[in-house]
Amino acid sequence: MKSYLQAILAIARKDLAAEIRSRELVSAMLVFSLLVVLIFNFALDLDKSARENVAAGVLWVTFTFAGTLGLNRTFAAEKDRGSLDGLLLAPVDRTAIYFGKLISTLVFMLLVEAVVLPVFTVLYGISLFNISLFGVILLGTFGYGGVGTLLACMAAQTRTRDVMLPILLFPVTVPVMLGAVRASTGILANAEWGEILTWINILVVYDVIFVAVAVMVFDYLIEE
Amino acid sequence: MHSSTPKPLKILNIISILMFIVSLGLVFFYAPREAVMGEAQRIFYYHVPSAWLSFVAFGVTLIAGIAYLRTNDHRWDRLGIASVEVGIVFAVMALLSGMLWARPIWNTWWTWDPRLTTYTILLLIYFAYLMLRQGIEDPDKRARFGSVYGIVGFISVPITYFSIYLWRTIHPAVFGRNESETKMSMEPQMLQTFIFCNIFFMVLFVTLLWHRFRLESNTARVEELRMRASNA
Amino acid sequence: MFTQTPDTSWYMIVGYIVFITLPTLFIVSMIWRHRNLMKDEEMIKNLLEDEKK
Repeated sequence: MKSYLQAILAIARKDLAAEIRSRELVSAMLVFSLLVVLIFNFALDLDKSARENVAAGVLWVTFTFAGTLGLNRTFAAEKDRGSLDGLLLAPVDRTAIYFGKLISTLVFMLLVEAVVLPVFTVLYGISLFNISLFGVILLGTFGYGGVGTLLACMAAQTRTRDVMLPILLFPVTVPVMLGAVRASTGILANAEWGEILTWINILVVYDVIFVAVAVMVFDYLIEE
Repeated sequence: MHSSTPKPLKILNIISILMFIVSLGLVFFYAPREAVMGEAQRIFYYHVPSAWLSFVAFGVTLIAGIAYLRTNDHRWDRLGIASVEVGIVFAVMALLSGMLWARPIWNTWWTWDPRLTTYTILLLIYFAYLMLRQGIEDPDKRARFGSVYGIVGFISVPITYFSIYLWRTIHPAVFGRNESETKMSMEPQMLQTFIFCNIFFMVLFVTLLWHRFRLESNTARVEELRMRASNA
Repeated sequence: MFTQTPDTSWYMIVGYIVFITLPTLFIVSMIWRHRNLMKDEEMIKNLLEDEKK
């Protein structure tokens, strides 16, 4: 068990270290997110109340798109450098690779989200500093990343690569989008907790089911 | 030399064609005109079996995917892809016919109600499935990845449906109306026609699936031949 | 209260055109793929024959 956890952390650390050195990925995700927020500003000409209604939606669309960037890079780099083979030689359960990759993806996404939130607050004039909101963002990111890591592993091994991931990912992560946006909107509008909890429940159920499925199935994706 | 069509399949071909002709007769001449919706209601007889059988098709792919991952027998994978194609044909039929049926009744081509929305997402998932397979050269990898996505995709559907349903219950859409609001007067001849059409579609489903499966088996065989020829 | 049943025949006709065209197209595509496959098989078999000679 200990070596399993060590393997997971080692894999995550490798990706994180590589990113700290180059800082390519996070900066790309960041710039992209800010651009998306900007584009939405021009695309949707909103007055104050309308902005409050769509804020959560715009936020999550931003996270979704930026997340795709992060997910694509997680496995693409591996395949290009052939370092996946090195990982496979280690005598550890293959799912350690899944969790390791998941952790590094989550770290990147959360980092980007942490920067986007204050920017969003300023640009949209809505305070996004809310513990419950952070919780929802965590749950949503976890579900999205959980399925995304699994599908990115597949997408990276196809001919069309980067384009393949959104096509595979988006239809399957609708519950995450819906749950996250609905819960976020509820929290921002100070709606009653019953409704918000329902959506949080959906997020939790989704996260549990799909991470479980991913773990059961991940082995089959890295056979060589 | 490929094996010729097996006898049971030939029989199924004939039964399918016969049932097709009989069903058309029932739908257009035996079933009475429905009072509220008029002639358009006759779409219902083909629309409903088409829809639920597409679900069955995708369910078959789910099972085939799991079976392939466990056994590594490529026949399961062939069943999986065959079922997805048949499922997509049935699903597109159901979707288009549903729109045509809805238009005269609710005066709109589309509503974003939970069933319709989820169904569209379902279709997108299986288009993605086809695209995924097309992007992979290695047959083993293609089968494995197809199986995985077939499983992930199918499992997501109930949750997706439930979350959209919940959403629309809490926040009903201003546009579009609930299907259950529309009543359809059902007479015995209609029920008989309906049952017959359902049985016809089940037979049609098996026939098409079997043909598509054989096509896939033949394709695999010729691929193998091709490999041998290029290695020689 | 008597209400006139609307004439919705057009929708029914287009609906059944869809019902008939789609499976037909599918069957045609299967036949077409099968023909191409048999042609390919012939070609490869001839190639293998020639190589033996």
